[in-house]
Amino acid sequence: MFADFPTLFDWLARLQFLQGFPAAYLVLLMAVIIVVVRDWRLTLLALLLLYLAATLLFVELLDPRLAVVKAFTGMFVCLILYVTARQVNWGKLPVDISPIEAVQLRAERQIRFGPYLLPTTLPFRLFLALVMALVVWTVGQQPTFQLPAITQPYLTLAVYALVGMGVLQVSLTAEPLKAGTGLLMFMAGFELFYHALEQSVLMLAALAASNLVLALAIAYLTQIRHTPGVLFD
Amino acid sequence: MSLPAPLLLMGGPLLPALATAALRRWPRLAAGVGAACALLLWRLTASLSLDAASAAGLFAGDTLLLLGRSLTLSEGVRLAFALLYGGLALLLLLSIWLPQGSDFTPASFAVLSILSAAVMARPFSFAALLLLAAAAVSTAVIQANRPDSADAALRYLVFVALATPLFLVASWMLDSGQLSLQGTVWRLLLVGFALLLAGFPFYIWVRPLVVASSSLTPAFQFGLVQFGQFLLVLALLQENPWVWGVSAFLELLRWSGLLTLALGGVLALVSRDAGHVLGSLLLVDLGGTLLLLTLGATGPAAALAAFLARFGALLSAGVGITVLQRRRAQADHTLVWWLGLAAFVYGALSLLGFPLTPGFGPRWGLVMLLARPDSGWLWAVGMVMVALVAGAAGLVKCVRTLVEMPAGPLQFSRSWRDVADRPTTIILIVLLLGALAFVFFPQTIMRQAWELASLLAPILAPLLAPLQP
Repeated sequence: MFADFPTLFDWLARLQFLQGFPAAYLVLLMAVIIVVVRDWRLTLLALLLLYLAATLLFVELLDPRLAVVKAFTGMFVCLILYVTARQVNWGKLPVDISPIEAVQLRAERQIRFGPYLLPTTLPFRLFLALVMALVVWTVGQQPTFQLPAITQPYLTLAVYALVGMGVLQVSLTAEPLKAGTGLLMFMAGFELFYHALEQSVLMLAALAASNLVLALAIAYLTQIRHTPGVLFD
Repeated sequence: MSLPAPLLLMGGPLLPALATAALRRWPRLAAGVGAACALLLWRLTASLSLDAASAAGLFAGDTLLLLGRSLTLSEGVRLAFALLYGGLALLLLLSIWLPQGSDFTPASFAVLSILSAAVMARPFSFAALLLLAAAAVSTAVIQANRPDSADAALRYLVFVALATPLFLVASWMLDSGQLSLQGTVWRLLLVGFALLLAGFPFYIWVRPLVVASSSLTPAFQFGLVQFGQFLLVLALLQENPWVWGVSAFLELLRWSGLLTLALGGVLALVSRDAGHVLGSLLLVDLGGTLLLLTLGATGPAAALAAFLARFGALLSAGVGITVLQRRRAQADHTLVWWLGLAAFVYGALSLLGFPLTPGFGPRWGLVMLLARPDSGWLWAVGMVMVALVAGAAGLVKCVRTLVEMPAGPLQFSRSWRDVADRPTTIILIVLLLGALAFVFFPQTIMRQAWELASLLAPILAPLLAPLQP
């Protein structure tokens, strides 16, 4: 039954149309979505897609059998954050706590945009994300800003996109899960650069373990931030 | 059969971490068990022999091979970790009386275990990743089941995570051995050190951490953990001595330290409560330590002494603040309240480096080193003094507010039993007397610091020998 199941190399061949610039653009798009969107479900979905797109870029630097570790690590990270997000009701108030009781978790102010209700901070975040995307795009095109040991321009673009958007996300929010996704984006961008320098299996494993430890710390802080006792404080 | 000594430092704390994690529902019991284990670890580490041939105990030999990488325990690291376990034992003993967060005890053991692996691991790229792991576990120590403490823990994690790539790339460049990369390496190390040691402009995580975390956490984080991180910084500089010789590196690090110190003084002056004042004075001390690192051969030794004094200062101030907060609702200022205030003020003054406090020695050392004619930074002495005066003014303002706020003066008409509960009084008096003992016998701190400096950075040993107290 599984004899015809496609191998890793079959998958890569099927996804060849995404390799190179499309993967880098996908990474940039997902990073922008993570910065702009407040809904945790969309954020985690975008993070998962970002990890999968980044894996296509890692294939350019590592043996595909090693690069796939990045995809698995990303999936485990998203799984850890997904379980945490579900446990804390996606960052919303538990049904048995009223907004008046929860001192620490105020509902975000919203504005009506046609039939939709949108957070008031959305235009600001969108503006910053677009400015950062523009900066990343411009810097990525300049030969003077080409990263050492990286020859492909789309890899440079992806590294700048992940690092820039990651730092922007961390600086925009104090919410552990949202800021944590920024930290993970930053680390993914750095790993993309670092594996152009260093391809040892031990370092690959150490970086994967670091990502998982970071995800656990983020999950822990998210849980602490949203326990009822803390919300009443 | 004997086991490699690094295994004691790495694996030793993990057993109490597991044991106390099982007891986390009873924080006082966990702290008591943890204190006993920390004392045992201190004893084992202090008596450890690194010579495999002559050792008679369970642990011997200085090298552990793990996944093809070697972890080497030097005499300096052994002595440093004996001090760290001694400090942890003291912290946990105090946390029997002042229970901290539920994860404080197990997480503190886990952090020291990972930190010891980071200090011993080579190449440095693995040490950098272990530092990140230690920071991730530290979040459990910092959080105190309050929203602002979770935010502070996240901020700390972010800064260490930002420093990690810099160390990884610098380490790769150092391992590649290309001289053309030296200019990039020192720049990466400069920013990495500033992020890790809270130098300007990366100091913004310090005050929220002091204000939001539980009372003994700053002593753990800035006294013990940062001491371990400083060991790694020293080891990096020791193994790459050319970095000491880059004048731009030293100059920029010195500026970073000086600006942190100056900002600490200014922030103390405008702070509104005891927690913020303490955080600001800690910035003064952190800036002073960074400055010391750059000031010749004796600087790092004085910086190590500053770490030891800082631990004591934060311990005293943390206990003092807790006592003040606990007694806030009482109608009168009791004897315990005044003792708590004294402990807070004494710790704060020690951070400033006032005479008759343990912090005076390192601060005096800083002023003397800056004032040397060959340093070229004589003018910085004035800036340091202004910052210290501003810090002291901020402290005076804070104390005046505290004294005036709740109620009238100590009611001596009442019986002692009413105004003072005995254990608190005894602990506070012992703490204050202990701090005073360090003032009258400063060689207890200075000798340890000098010995550590000459062991950790043998490059400095010939210069330190004639100065040893």
